Amino acid sequence: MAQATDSVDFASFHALTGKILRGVETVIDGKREAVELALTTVLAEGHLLIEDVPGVGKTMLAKALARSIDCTVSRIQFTPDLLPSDVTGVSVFNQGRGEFEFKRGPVFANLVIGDEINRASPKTQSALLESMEEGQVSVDGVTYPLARPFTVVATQNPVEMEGTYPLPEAQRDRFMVRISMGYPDDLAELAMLKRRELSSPLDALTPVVSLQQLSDMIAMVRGIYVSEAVEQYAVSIAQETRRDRELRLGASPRATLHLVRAAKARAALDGREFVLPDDIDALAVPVLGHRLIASARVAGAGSAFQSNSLADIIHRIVAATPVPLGAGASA
Amino acid sequence: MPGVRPVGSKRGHAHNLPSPEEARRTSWRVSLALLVCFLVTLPALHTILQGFGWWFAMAGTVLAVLGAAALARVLSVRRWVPAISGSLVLLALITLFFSGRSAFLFVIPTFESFGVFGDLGQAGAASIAGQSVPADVTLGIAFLLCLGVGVLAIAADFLAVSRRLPALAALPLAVILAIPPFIGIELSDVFVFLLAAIAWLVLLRAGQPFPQTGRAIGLGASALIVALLVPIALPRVDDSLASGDSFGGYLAGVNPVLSLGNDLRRELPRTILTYSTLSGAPTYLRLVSLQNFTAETWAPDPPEIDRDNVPSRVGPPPGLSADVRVEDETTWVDVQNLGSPWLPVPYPATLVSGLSGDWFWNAKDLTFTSPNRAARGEVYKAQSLQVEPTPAQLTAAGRVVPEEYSAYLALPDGMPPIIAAEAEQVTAAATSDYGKAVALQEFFRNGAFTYSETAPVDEGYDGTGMEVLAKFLDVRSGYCIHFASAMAVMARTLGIPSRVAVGFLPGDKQVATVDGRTQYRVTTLNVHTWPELYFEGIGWTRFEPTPGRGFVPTYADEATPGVPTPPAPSAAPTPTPTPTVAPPRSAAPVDPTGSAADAARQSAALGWLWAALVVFGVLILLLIPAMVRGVQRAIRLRRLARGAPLVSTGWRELMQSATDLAVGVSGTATPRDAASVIAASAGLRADDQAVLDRVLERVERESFSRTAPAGAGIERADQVRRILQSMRSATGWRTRMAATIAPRSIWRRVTGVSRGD
Repeated sequence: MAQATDSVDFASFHALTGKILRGVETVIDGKREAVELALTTVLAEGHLLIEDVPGVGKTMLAKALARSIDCTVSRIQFTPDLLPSDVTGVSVFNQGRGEFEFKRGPVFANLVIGDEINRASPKTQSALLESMEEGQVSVDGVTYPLARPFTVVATQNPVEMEGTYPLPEAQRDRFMVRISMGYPDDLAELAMLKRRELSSPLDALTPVVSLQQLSDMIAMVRGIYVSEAVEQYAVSIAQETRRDRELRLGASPRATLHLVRAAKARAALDGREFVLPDDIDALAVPVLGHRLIASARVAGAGSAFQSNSLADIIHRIVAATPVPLGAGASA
Repeated sequence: MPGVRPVGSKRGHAHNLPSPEEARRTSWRVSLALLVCFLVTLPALHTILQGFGWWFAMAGTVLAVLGAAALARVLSVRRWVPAISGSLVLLALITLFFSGRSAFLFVIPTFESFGVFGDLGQAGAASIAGQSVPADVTLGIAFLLCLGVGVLAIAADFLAVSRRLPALAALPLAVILAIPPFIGIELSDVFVFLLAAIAWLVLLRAGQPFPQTGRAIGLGASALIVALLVPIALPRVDDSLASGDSFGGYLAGVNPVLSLGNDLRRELPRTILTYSTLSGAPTYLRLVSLQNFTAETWAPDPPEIDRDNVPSRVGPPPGLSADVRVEDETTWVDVQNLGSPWLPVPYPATLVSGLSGDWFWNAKDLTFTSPNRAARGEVYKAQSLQVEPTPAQLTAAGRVVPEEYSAYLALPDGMPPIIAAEAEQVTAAATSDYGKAVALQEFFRNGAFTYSETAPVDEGYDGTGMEVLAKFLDVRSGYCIHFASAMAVMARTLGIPSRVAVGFLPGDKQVATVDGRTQYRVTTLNVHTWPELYFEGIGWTRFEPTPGRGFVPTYADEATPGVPTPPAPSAAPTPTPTPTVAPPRSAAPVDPTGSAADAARQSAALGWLWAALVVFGVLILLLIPAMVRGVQRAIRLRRLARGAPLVSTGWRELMQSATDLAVGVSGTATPRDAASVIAASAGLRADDQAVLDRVLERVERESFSRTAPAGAGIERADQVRRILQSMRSATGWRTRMAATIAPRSIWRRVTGVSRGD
């Protein structure tokens, strides 16, 4: 394992991300795109929402990602009776010392897997989401900073499933990327069967990246160049979503920020030191899809239909937005 | 549609593609607008055509053709089907109207129908050539009008509806608008022009799925200005034909009678030829004689070339007997500017030498024609006879008309009675044909007639048809062509064989001499016509009825002793005796179509010239977009080679060429998407693909990275050129042609319409 360095160069960045992707892919068959998006989110310091029907490997993806990185990982299984303190931690009275001491909850980890987040009550959900946004937890007037880097990978079932509390818009907005796993194709499913016959491939997974390396990689992603043209492009798309007649709620400024940050990570994963409009195009649906609300005319009864038509609307907006071609930063 | 190609991920969601339903509605709307365009454009011809029946015929043709195309569009999505259907309907329509009897089931043309069409076309061309404006719409002209407007409608429909380029429909419409100014700029009707322009704007708007009124109006206004300026800037046809510098000179072509008036009215006389004679006396020079008088015009015989009739041995003057006194004369002629296929020579010539081209004489009238060149530039010596019959000989000639001269008595049916009546009255006192001829000449020269080159034009009777002559006899004002043809026609009514000679007056005597001989200069002002009457034993004799022009031959001059003095026209009317011999109507019936067809053959030369001019003009217009694109490409690649950013030069060129070649690159695509669309549609080879990748990488770096990479501009220009080449070679020839002649990028910019097509 490579020693911690101050910075990561492109070659080692590429090698490390390659290792992570290969490792995760031994667990999740045939979902390269979802895996890449997940890694993109981690590298962009965002939070990931995986939404799909049960049994397609949502949790498996989250776990595999956590295993590949040598960092603290905790897992919260959200249930309707889960309390906010079960997430953040609780102050208990230490009789030996005669004072309250704070027992840290599962949120104090680099990677927090929130399983079936929409099964918890809104109160508990917001406890997690607040800490996600602020990077800290306040209990009894004391503020405890969370670990850095900090990424929440939450999974949820589509809202029409029984016994769920759908996440409100304001909270969905805190997730950088929403991905949907989708069913594997027949070949991938067959390969999965064969591989699981003897043992779980998750057990064979070992960390390939140290915490320090992950921090360096995140720092490198932060340094990826975004030209004014691309920024303009992202802003134009966001503005369009606010103007579009088929949308009731457009993209927030935070969405634009997330879009550009995710695009930086995607560019780095692609081996580029600058962001292309194509990065924005590719990330528009995963980053914006869960934040927009279609107007009543478009919104159907089910969310599957709605997200499909939302994806269509985003595609349409992206297709209609001209790509500014500046004559370059330097001629 | 074939133009649409699989496109990149972005294009699949483009929202500005009209739905099929919308496209169908648009195409109906455009068809209707196109019909309106034609209906308001057709009246432009009212300045050159008489009546208004032709408008209904042409409008009906357009309606049928556009309707057939629109219906075909409902039934088939293929682009050529409407054009084919329109053509078939056009064919059926003209078959029904113009050769229904020879057709199968009235509308299916047979071989005979096509024969009829050919004849009608020739007759129409002849009528056009033979008439002055506004012209009577004869059956032949109507045929040409319907056929022409039908073809234009098919073209306009194809451009505006099938190709969805309504702006280009202006071309066929402009052809209609261009016809009157083509004949004379004063014939264009600005009101009709404006109406047509407005209709075209409506068409433009109808053709846009997402109308942009402001842009359309701006565009229309600029198009209007251009359209108004172009006719002014373009050389006028008759100028260019007549200027002689490039197209051959004066009196070129068709029926020389037609341009004669224009030459006479020319403000600045231009030299046509110079000559000198052995005797030093001036002489008339004759080009051609017109034998065939139809209701509409005098026309020459079709040129018959007998290659045995070489100018070194010219046959005997027809009808001249040995006892008439003749004198030899020699004339040296230097033709500077004359586009005619006839040679100016004195009559009757006996020998012409020194010619550089092939010239052959006609036994009937001793005119000289060349199958392959014009008279311009010929310098030659002509020997001729000066025939000097005595009045006694002429009187004695009597009125025997040999069989072969009966054609010179032919008159069309339906002559206005005033012509014959006037002739009878004027010559009532004369006792011989000769006397009658002299009486006619005096009637014109010393009667109430005035010479005017402009009156006939102002009063609308310019020309030589019989209606014109009747009007001329009434108004009593005109120029040589009226006097000559009136006297010739009146002579025919009296039974004297006659024809009209076209040539030149003797011209002006010059101070300078050549080899001691007096020089004469003949200019456009000396263009002249005169009648020639036939007297048995003497042959064709010249008369001069035009007052104040030329000189009267000795044998017809009242001053000559023995020449009969006609009574003054105002003399007490004597009872008009019935002619002892009825003037023979044409012995061989004159078929107007036949003689018109002859004229048509003669008009072929000029007709082709006009056609070539029109084609040339259209070609130039068509080439403008191609030239714009070519210059644009050259400038961009040169700038690129000199180190300008690829994005603003080579890449822009690639994108625009992709648009031209109907490669479906969206205007909002990222460079990467665009490159993959180009690669997919052009089916690039691996090495070309690598070149495209390098270009793409550079574009991305220039646009989006922190620093642009260095590199040789020349190399990049070569790379762009190579991709352009591959793109072009990957498309069909039709697409390439369309990309060259009508580059979509230009039209799109002009019309502001972006289509998925």
